[in-house]
Amino acid sequence: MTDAHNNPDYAIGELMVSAIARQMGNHDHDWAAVGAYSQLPMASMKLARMIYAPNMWWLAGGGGAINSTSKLVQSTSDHRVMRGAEYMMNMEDIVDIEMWRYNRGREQVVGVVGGIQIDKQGSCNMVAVGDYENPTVRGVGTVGLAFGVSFTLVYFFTMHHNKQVFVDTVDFVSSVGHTGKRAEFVPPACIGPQKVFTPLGVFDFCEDGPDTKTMRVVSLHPGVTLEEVQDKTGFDLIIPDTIAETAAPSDLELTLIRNEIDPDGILKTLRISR
Amino acid sequence: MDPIFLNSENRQSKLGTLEDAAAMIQNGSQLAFGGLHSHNGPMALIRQIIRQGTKDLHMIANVSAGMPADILIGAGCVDTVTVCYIGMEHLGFAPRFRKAAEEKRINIIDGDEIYYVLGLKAGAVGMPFVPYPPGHEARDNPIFEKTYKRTTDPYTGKEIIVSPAIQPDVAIIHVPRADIYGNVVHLGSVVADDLLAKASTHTIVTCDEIVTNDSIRADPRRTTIPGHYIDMVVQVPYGAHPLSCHGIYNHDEDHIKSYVKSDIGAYLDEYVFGVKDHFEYLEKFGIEHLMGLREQI
Repeated sequence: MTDAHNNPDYAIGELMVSAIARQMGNHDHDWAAVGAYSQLPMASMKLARMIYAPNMWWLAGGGGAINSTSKLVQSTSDHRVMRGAEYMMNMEDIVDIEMWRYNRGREQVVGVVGGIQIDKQGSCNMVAVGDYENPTVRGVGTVGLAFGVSFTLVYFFTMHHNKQVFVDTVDFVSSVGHTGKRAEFVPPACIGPQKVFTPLGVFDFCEDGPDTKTMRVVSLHPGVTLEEVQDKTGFDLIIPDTIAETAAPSDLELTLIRNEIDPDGILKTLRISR
Repeated sequence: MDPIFLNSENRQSKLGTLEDAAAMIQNGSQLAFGGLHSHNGPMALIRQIIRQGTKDLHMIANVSAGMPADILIGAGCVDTVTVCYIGMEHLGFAPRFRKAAEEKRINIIDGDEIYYVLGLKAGAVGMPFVPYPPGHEARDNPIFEKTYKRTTDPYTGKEIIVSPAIQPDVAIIHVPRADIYGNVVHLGSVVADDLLAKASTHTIVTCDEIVTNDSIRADPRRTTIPGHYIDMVVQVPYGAHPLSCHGIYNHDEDHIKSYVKSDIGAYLDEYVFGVKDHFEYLEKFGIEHLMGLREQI
């Protein structure tokens, strides 16, 4: 652990929220969904709408609240998320928009999701570690990752960066990454995973074959070394010539996060490991 | 008085008891439940189902199932489960589901949100299956899960993926308010409760409060499920505990955490088999604790 890992100025969760919120600046007027167990993306959506994407629509998955302005709570399904929302979706509403909206040529439909395994090509697993018939870990199920082939694009976030999460090839494809199968079957309008936000850095996907892409380093969080991130990743990352340092959260972002979005300080208590 | 209120004197009440409701759920039946995660689950009825010793259920777990699915599996009531998500959200895996799955003590149908929601939609309208748009060939659920099939789209001649309609024998949901005729008022997320009521052969509602039919008629826009879908209404104050009932009380996170860590046999002995009814269950927590969970929106 380097000193920056324990930087008293901000929590790693706050840095990740800032990074994801800035990314959502690409999605003003788009529609974004976060799932369960999603404190980081939930806070990011709130921050994005305050600063970077005031016209973005976002869904607190499960519970169905649209454009909630409540303070951050642990669960997107908690009824307190309804506070300040503009609409409450039921599950039919959610499937309708997440399965087909982009294919009508409207706004982009964006998922911000996680997984128990994510591989070098951006495929994601929520079902089983090991052989499907004899799993060493039975996961929770594919749930909303079924929309990975209908969302315009997906951003991943993880609370951990280690070789258990970042594997060479997932054991079960809940959501397909940049593989030959995507090229063969998935409509080209759905462009798949674009960025990965982890406690160590930010990553994207770079072409390394006719139909495949592999995870590439974009920026490392302050104090994180390339050696450390490669050592904690279960495959060879693509290393570009220049690697940025992830920008620290600004004073404005931290003020909004601490006073408006997360007054209870949930982001500082998340069990984020790296 | 308006004639309609005179007629209502002959209208049949659908009120029942937890025992009546549980008795509608036969061994081996397909049982679906509403709510999601730690919210709006019909927990008092689920405890009664466990208490009456129901076996071999095919559980249609809700779109994001937590403790309701886990405790039914842990109590040995479940033979087969249709999974979309079973876990405890930020509290980790659902331990009894995970263990039963890894030890292969339950059959798993590996669905997802599309399989579940559109399967219920097909079930509600009597369509035999759900045809998928292109793209789903690239993910593993339709490959590993054998209830997905392939067929030919007669309009294009192309092969497409299909999944089956879902028509549960019985759906059980917990809501804040209902009248004695089954008209339901949610005060928060409906999720798929409405769809479950449409797709299932029978639907049982447990509710925190019975409201008058006049109150329903005062603003029919608030009614979230019309009573004709509902077979029985059971008034169960705190009937979702330790889950939340949206609009009335929060989930009891400390208790759910202790459930996750508990020995399931000891937990069932204390909170299910060791109490004679729902009110004795509530008394274990005490008025101060239960009232402390209340929060409106």
